[in-house]
Amino acid sequence: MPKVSALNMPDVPMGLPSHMELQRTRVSCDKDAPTHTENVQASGAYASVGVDNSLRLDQFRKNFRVTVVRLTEDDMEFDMIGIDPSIANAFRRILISEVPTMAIEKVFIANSTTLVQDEVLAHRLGLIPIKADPRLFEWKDDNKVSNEKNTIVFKLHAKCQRGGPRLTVKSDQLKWLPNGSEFIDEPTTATDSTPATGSTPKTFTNFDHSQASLPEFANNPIVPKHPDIIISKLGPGQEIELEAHAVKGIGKTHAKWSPVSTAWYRMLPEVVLLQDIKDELAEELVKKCPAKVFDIEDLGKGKMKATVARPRSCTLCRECIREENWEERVSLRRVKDHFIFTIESAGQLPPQELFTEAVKILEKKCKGLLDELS
Amino acid sequence: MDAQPEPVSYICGDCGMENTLKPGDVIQCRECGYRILYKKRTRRIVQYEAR
Amino acid sequence: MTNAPQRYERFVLPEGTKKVSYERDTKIINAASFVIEREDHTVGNVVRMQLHRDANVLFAGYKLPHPLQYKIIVRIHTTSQSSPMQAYNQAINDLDKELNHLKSAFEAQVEMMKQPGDY
Repeated sequence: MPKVSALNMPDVPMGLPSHMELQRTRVSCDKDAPTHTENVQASGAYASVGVDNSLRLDQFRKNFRVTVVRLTEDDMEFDMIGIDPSIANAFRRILISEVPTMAIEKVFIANSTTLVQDEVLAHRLGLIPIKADPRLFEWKDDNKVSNEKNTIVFKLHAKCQRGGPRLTVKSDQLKWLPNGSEFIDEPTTATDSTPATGSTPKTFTNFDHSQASLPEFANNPIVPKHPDIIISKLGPGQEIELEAHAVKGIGKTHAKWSPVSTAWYRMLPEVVLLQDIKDELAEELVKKCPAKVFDIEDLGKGKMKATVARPRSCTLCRECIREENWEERVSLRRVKDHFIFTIESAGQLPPQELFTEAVKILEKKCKGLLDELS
Repeated sequence: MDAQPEPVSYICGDCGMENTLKPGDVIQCRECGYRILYKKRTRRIVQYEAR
Repeated sequence: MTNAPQRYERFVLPEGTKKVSYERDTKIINAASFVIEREDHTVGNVVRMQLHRDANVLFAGYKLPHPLQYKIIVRIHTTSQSSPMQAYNQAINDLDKELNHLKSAFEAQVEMMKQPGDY
């Protein structure tokens, strides 16, 4: 009789035993705590049972899927199936802190007699989302001059008339100056005061030509994304006159450059009924669930059966398994490689473009890791 | 010290009226007689970081 | 706050610094550390995961030594069939291709979402 490995015998089942497969692919949310939360990534993790756990590119391509669930102007939800949590997390981190946007960075205040202190006012202006495509602009270092390629200039001039009612200044009063700054940069010391004879006086920016002449902005002026953000309130006789300069930056430097309100992911919930749940128990189960995951199927003759109708809306609150004996009837799980990704854009770019930008940034990082190695 | 000291404008703390005072003048609003006067804000442009 | 480091130092590579440096282990063969400047968990964890999928990698891990030292250290130990450098290069090349696939799949889905009834 020829020697045969135990793993190659015809009556030995191939692959992982079902309970191990469950542990590998699902987090089970038990009454007390979630278990099997770890991800088995090591290629040789199941070598002793003859299962190769390495993942090659062709397998990845075969298994990977995306489905867009919801896509609106500044909010989207999509499923990514067949990726590792580290990749999903990298996208989340990049979306929050590394996708560039334009935000107000310098504020030149000529006059402000409001109750809002100048530095507070400047900070508030910085947080206003500017609807301008950051890909059309260059980065500006501290020692670089502001020009039409790296700076957007806004003007704000509001005055409350004496004897009139109080005035609320909102973000739509920020007016885009496509020709750059209008304030004259006075020399601070008398020695470098070069009398500007004939030429235009020096301002805080150095624009060669108007931004409005660019085809991208010709019919699409740069404005704050929301017109109704309250900047300040003016009492009678009070006045604000300032200029705000927006530059390109990333959320890592300051949260005002973050292009998303939030970006997050969750694993797909999986609700399994381990036994048939009928009649009163079925009604009880439907009543238990605050997320309305379960439905009742009418079997006729007054008989009823519980079904899992909306597993996606399960929040894993575990209310359904809290009481005695229910853990044997219902099992709550999460699918480890199925991510429900949600992006809430702050408005500078639409969410689908934010995500492709995030992928591009991660690709660029990968290239950076190889370039200088030789 | 030949240069004539420039008159400085102040704002009345009560009625908001502009008052121009020279050294030695009584600190008092010409309009309402209020004795608290405030200095005007600089005309120079002040730069802030929006952080 | 006057002695706080500039925020951009977290991601701007100082002049004259190498992005990645490679250091072989003196005691163990086929073991090495890669010091990657100005990167963090975003890249570190992804690279670690990708290395774990390689059957020739015996050990792969990364650490961020200190939150104010803007670098990560990736340590790789391989079998004699491979080398740390080879495993590292392959992991990143694979990752790049995966991302490319992911991007086109995503863009195709978004296009489909924008014009329903067109597929």
